[in-house]
Amino acid sequence: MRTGAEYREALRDGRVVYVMGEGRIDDVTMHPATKAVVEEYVAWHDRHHDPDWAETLLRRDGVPWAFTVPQGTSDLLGMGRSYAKTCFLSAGNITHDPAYGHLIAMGIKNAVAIHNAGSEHSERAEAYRAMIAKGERFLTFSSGSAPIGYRMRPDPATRAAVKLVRETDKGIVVSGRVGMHTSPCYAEDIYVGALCGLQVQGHPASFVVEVAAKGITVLCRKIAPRDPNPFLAPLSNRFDELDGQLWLDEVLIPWEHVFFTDVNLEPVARWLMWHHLYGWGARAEFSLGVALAVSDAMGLKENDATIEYLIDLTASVQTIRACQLAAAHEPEPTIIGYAAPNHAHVMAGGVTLFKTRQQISEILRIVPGSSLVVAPSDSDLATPSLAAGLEEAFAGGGYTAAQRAALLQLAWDHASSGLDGRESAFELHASGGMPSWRGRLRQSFADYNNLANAVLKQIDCDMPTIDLGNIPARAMAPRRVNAPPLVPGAGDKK
Amino acid sequence: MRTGAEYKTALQDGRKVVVMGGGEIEDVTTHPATASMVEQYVAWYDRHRDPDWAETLVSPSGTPWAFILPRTVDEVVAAGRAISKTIFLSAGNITHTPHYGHLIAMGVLVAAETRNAGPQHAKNAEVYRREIVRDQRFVTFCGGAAIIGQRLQPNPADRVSVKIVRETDKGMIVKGRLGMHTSPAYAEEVYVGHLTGLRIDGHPVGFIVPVGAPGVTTLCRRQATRESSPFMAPLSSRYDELDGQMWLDDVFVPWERVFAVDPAPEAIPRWLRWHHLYGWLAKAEFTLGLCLALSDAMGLKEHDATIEYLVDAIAEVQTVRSCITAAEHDPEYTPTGYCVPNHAHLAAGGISLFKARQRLSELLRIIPGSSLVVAPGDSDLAIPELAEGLEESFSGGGYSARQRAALLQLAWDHVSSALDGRESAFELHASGGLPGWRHWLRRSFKDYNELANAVLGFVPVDMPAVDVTGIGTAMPAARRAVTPPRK
Repeated sequence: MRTGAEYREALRDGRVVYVMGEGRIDDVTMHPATKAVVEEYVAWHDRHHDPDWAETLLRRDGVPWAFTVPQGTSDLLGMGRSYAKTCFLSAGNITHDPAYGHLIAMGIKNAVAIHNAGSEHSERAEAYRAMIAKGERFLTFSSGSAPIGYRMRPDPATRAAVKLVRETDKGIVVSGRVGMHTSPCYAEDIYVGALCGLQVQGHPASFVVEVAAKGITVLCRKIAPRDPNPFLAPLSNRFDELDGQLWLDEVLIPWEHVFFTDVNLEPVARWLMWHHLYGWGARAEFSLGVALAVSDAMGLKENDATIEYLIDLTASVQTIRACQLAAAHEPEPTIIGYAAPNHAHVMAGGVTLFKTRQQISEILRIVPGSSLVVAPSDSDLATPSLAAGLEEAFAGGGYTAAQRAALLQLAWDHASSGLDGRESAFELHASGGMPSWRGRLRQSFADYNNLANAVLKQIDCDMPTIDLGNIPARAMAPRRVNAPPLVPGAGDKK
Repeated sequence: MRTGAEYKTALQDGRKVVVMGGGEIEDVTTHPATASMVEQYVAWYDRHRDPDWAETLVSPSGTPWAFILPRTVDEVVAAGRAISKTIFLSAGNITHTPHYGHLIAMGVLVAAETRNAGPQHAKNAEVYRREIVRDQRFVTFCGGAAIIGQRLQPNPADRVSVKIVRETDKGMIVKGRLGMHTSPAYAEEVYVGHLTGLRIDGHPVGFIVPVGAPGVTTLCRRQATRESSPFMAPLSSRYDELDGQMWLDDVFVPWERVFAVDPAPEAIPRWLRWHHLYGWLAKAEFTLGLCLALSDAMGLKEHDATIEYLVDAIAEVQTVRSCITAAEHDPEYTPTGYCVPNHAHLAAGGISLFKARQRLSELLRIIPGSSLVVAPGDSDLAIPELAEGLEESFSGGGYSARQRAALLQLAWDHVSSALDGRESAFELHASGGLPGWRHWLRRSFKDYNELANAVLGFVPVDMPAVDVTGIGTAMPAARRAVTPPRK
């Protein structure tokens, strides 16, 4: 597995990256808008060489859990533990990393096998997964859906994100623009899913494109507004994984990176929801950690009302933990022989967390009291005319004013900052939001007919046998369709 | 395995049982207020001899899962499956069974081991548990708390449920009145917990009282109001496990039935909460089953809004299933090696269900539409001048009027009957209610200091180490104190 320095060096590959509001980024490893997150990914790689982390991140045979192909419960538990521990290090803000990339690659292999276009396609997908498993490339994920401008085009035939320009003996040449996905400026490869609308040789096609490939432009969103002072913004200064769009201008995709799959993305995302829930779980655990620390720092750990708030948070965290454990202990087989976490348990956890997210943030704003709002910064504490007064106002109970203020600023940055707002907005869409998680639960719940017919046994008369197979069989709710304005004049009566 | 008939005979033991509003019950096996529940327990025993149930209820050694003291995850999972499958049969209404009784005996054993007041206590507890396994007697549980009248006594010393009249070399003689517990009319023995305040040699004690012992009177609550027709009340006419009080009038309790126990809130109920959660889950699953069946019977299984309601119910059911699965696969072990479902996971599931209970009932009232309210009874369907009109009004889509009405009445009985109201009122108190479950989560969550100190690593200032251990070690809030009127 490569070192962090090797990863950093790999990003200097001539990629064309823009950050909205910042212009063109010549070198993502150096630019203030991107450098901090690059260093987080550098640390991710180096952590795998750190003996203190070996027990958490490596199997007994030395293979990182990040690149393990799960065969059963013990593998899923090991992988899950490594995700939980690493996601916590960014307070759940860095959700896309090379481990996630390997889960994408597993999903590609799964989706290709399900589509079943031929053995050479399965071999191609496995070759790509095996390459990712060497830990030499960071892959991220795009569903392939089009940005809003494409979806508003008058001609439905032009609303797809990507169009095939031509086929060659080396691959396909494509052009287009692909909507929101995460960390493209830090990744080396991007998987573009079959929602891109591409058809090749009669098959829906997805593909992997190199970020540095000729004809690629990465357009990242504006950075989350943040104070430049790490004392005031200990999280948002470091953990803003930028989301972005991808523009493709006659980009050659070699055949070995073209994957025929169904348009349905669920087989690709088979392991991704599980990772998402670990990310959300890490964020919830971080919120609980901050609330606990603040209850100590504010002298509230004996306060009954505060403890009830803490138990509210604990119940949410513990429910997610239980769902994740259950998912690993009752794995499901896949067509490619890999163990997958039980979707029904994962979905139950996700739906629970979707319901409690805002309450978790609000509790973290409640527990510290109004000191959260008026806490000073380190520069205020260093101002001679203020120092004594601020020390008097904020010190005491085993904490200096600087310590207490630093903790309050951490809480603020976690639950009231632009980074917090971005995380919430992103997760409401990234994996389909609540509607999709509910849809996946609907599809994965297995006992419709069992339960419906079981209750009929309480009735003392013959009853028709019930068949509710349609409920799980229903497709996920279709993506929202944007209605382009009518063409002026079209349909007018003359 | 004991037969149902043997159990039924055992209940004809001269017990003194009074049902409020119904007077004294000469024979619980034949009286209309109690006979149907006795038959449910008879069926519980006989089910263990039914080959169709063998795989679910009987371990490979031939011992029923109900009477296995689990030492492994596999044993806990199998016992949990047996609980789940049998509780569903009563729509989650019969929550106290001989299996539950053995879980009580297991809890008494571990509580005695933990208290460590002397080898005879643990030995007596284990001898008792083995007797339960051997004879398969039905034990139920009483916390031991006093009834309201006792709590309002002017003299604080009199505000206890039970007092020792005298001790002899063979045992103790006690007198008093014990508060709410479940199924005493159907059980053979009642475990009375340490909330009596009794202490022996300075140790809090619990004890066992046979329901048929001289001096014992069981006073059951009034039965849940119900239609006499099983068509209208398919559940409440069968599954009303009566709660009750127990009066003790100079009752002799031999020393081998007196156990010095650990008073911690986890001690005795360490397996019972697991069983409680299965009971609530069974009720939730039954509710979901009815929602599903009604979505078919009412022609709504393709209706988007109905499916969203169903997914709401599924999410609640699946979350509790996940918590139970985690609890069983990530267990805790007692010092002597018994396998206990993890309380942190169970508590999370219980809290989740406490929050969802009312919503689940409402969903089942919503899905059938107003037909739920106006569905006919079987006697209405049999009235000649109504029959044709009712058939026209309620049949169709593969269901006769009788079938559709029967399903609607089942739903009504499940979530709009007095049985439903009793179940809700009971569970809000029985195992401490939401405050109790929140407290158990508080005590069983392990990572307070780990999480609090982990976030400090993000602060660019040296910080004092946080110690919030007190949150997890707090004893339960004191039981609500009633205020006797001033003289």
